[in-house]
Amino acid sequence: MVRVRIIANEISPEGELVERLAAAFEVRGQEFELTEGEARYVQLGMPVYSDLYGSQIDFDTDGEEWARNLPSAYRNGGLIVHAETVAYGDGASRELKADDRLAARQALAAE
Amino acid sequence: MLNAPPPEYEPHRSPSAPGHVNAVLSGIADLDGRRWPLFFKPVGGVKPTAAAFYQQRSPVDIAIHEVAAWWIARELGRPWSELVAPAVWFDPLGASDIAECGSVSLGMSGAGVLPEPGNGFDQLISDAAFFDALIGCQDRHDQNLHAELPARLGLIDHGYAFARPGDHHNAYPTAGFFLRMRFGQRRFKVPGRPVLDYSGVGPLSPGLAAHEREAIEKLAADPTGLLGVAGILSDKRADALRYRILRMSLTDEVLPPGDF
Repeated sequence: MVRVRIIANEISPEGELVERLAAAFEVRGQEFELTEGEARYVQLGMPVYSDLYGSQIDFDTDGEEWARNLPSAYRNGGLIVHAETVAYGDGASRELKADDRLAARQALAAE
Repeated sequence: MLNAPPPEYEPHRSPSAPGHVNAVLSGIADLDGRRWPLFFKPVGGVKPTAAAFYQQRSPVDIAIHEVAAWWIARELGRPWSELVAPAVWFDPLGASDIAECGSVSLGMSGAGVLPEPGNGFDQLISDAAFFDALIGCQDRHDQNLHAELPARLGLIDHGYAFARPGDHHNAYPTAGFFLRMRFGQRRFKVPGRPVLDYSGVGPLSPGLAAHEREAIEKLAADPTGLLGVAGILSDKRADALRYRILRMSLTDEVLPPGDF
C-alpha cells in the first residue's frame, strides 16, 4: 500500500507562506481511497516516470507504482507530494523485486 | 528583494520520502518589512530519468529555464512581468558542485488551483496562454499555477519549457491548460475527478491581441540575442524559440498546446 499526502503551499498577499494538507489518499493495488482533504487535488491521470517500467505510467498502469512516483511530477513549489510505501497487514509489501521489474517492462512493451 | 540577505533554505516541513522527491527548498527573505517566500530548486534535485522523458537531458538547463522564462517576461513587461514568477540563478555560499546550485523563484501569492471561473480571469488566462506558447511550455496543467481572488494569476515551474519541435508534451488532460482555453476548451474530463468546468470563462481567441503582436515584434527585432535569453539557452532551444516567434508572427495566432 502507498500512502500519499499532498501539501499545498498558500501564500498570502502579505507574503505569509502557509502549508496545508490539500489531500491524502491510499492506494492498495488498483484501489484508491481519499482519506482526507479534497479530491480535486488528486490527479490520477497525471503521467509520472517510473524507473520500474522505464516509462511514464499513470494510475491505470499500476496504481501503487504511480502513487510511489507521484512526488517526481511536482516540483513547482506550489504543491508538495509525500509518498510512503506501507507494508500490508500481513507484513507483505508491494515493493517489486528484480524479476517483477523485468515482467513489468515486458508487459508494458507488449501493450 | 534581491538585496535582501539570503535566507536559510530548508526542506518543506512535509519532506517527501527519500528516492521519491524532486527537491524543492523554501525560505523567507525579509526586506523592507515584508516577507518574501522563495523556492530554491537545486540542480541535484532533478530526477534525470523523469526529465529525459520530456527530452530535458540537462538538469542545469532545467534550472536555467526557470530564469530564462522570467527574463523573457521581464523584458516584455506587463502583463507578463506580473504573471511570471521572478527567478534568478543562485550559487549558495560554499557550494562546490553545480548540483548544489539552481534557480530561486519568488513565491507567487495564492494557491495552486484556479478559482471558479467568471471572476475576472479571462484576460489573465489569455495572457498566460500566449506566454506558454512563446516559451514552449511542456507541463502547464491545472495545478501548475498560483491564483487568488481578486483575480490574480501566477505562472510557476518553467523547468520543462523551451521545448524543441517534436519534444514531449505532458499527456495529462489539462496540460496546455491556458492554451486549451484560448482555443475554446472549457470542460476538462480528468480521471477520478469531477469534470473541471470553466464554462464561465468568456470567449477567447487564438488570434494575437495588439500587445501580443508588439511582444512578438520586439523579440523578432532581436533575432540574435532574443532580449538576452539566447545567451543562456542552448542553441537548439534558442532556435526553437525563434521558430515559434516566426510562426506566431506569420499566422498572427498563438500556437496550439504541444506545438513547439
